[in-house]
Amino acid sequence: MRKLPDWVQEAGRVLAWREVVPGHGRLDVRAPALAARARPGQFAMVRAAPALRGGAVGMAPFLGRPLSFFDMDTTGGVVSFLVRVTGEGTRALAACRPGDVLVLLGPFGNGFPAANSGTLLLVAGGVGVAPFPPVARAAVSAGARVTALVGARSAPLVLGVRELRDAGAEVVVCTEDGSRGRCGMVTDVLPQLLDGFGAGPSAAFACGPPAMLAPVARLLEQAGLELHVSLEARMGCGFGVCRGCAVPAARGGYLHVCQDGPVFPARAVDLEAVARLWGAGTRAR
Amino acid sequence: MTPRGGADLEVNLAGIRLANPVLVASGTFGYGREMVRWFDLRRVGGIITKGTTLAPRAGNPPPRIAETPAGLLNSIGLENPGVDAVVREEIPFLREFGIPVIVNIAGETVEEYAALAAKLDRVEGVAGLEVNVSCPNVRAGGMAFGTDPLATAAVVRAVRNATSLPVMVKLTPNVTDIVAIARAAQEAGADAISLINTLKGLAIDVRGHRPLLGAVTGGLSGPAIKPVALRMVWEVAGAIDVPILGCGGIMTGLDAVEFLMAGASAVAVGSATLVDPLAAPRIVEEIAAYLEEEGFARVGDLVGLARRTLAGGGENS
Repeated sequence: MRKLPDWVQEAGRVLAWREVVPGHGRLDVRAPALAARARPGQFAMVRAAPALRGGAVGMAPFLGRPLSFFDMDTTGGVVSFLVRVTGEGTRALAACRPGDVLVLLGPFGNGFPAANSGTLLLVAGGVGVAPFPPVARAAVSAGARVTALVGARSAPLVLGVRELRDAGAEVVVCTEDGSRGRCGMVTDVLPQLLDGFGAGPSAAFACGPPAMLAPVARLLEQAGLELHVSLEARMGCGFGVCRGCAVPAARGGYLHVCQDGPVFPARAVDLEAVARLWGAGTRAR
Repeated sequence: MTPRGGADLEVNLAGIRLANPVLVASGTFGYGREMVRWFDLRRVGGIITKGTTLAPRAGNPPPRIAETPAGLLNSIGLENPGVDAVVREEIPFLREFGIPVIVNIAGETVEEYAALAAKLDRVEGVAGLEVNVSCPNVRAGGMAFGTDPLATAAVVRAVRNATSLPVMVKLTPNVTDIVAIARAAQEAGADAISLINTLKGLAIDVRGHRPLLGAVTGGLSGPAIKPVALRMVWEVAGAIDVPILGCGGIMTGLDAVEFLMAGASAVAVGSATLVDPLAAPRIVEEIAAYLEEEGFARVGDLVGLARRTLAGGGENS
């Protein structure tokens, strides 16, 4: 097992909140201790905490929100997150102004396995693109080629393309209404993309709505490729003590997103059950 | 170790010597393994382990967590590896820190509670038992025992007869008369009462049109429940003779001081650890600072102080 870097609790200063597409924003926070430790695919618990009660713990919102690292600048000491604004916790983040202080805990989770050679395929749906720019950058700098399939409902909601290209990835965009890139969902476009690979990708990672992950896993399994998925879950702590972020395991019982994940081999998780649990209508915070 | 100032922080909770009055509450600290990455466990008075059952439990279906105003709902469902694994793997790990370890036990029948107590009776490193008759998230056992004085007494008696360890009983606030339950526990042989477990609650996902938690209902914890917990500590402290461990929404040293003044001999920090992993040792420091600022020599001087003041006994008397 890889040794994880030390966890830290850090008061981070907001550098910017920028809405990038409607309902989604990029949050940049100066948090040097976290930035120095974060690895691609890991996450932090982030809380917009008014400094009530002893200066350390606020109450609204009470819990942090698990957010993947969208970018980390180790030399500048900055971490960035891509946030979909859906509830109280993320609205509080969207209300942040430069200079505001956030409480960050992390880095947590296992991250993606290293992809050092061959071709890495990234499959992202919506805000699921969040963990991939650092993954692409690491893979490209290690000598891999990276192709990213980025899906969204329509053109105004396409996320992360510039960041992925900056990281050195080739990006294929698809939208359900055909308003940008290829027409269709990622599951429609993925088979065409796999056909075009020749020898095929050597590794594949996916992140997105649970309803997307199960069919993506099936398609890649048919192509003889092991897929790693990054999962979301409601979390209490982020570091393993509350047992709140359980997801159904393929072999029965549960796995925990904060400790066992957030990145899992797709075959380790019952993705159909995850899709049912967090299916249409039930939205993340 | 004395965190700061000169005040004596040591307390005796039902025969368990605590270097300071701050324990960590069951279910918010696992078995300590994750927490050693945050701080030296010797900075807290003691550890109360995750609720432990006879057989391993996978826990409840997700989602298991929902945020609420000033708190959270959980329906973890006593996920744990079972008592044998805890004795074999977790207690030896915790024992190394040399601080009191209290194992929280939960059963579905009176016999299961007795079997758990017997299994833990002579385990080196176990300082006491916290009998969980108050978990709202399991179908059988748990809170069903803690809402009835006779059932509570039956569990406590069975545990009492199965162990020579100090027995603390963790009560549920989901009752009409907490004093009646606490009295029953004391009369059945409890050495201490732990107050309170979570309040049963519900949250609805208005976009998904269904309950937010997989188990429908869950246990409410956090600052939202502190006034309820304080009231129950106050009522029970006036009615029984055994010490009380106060728990419910403690985020700061001053919150802890409130519980002590209401009549608790020590406190347990729960949900605060989830959002601030350093909460428990910070609260120890804040209690010490309060004692120093207010000129109290011993943390024991705070225990029941508000009761004595109200009764006309005067401050610091």
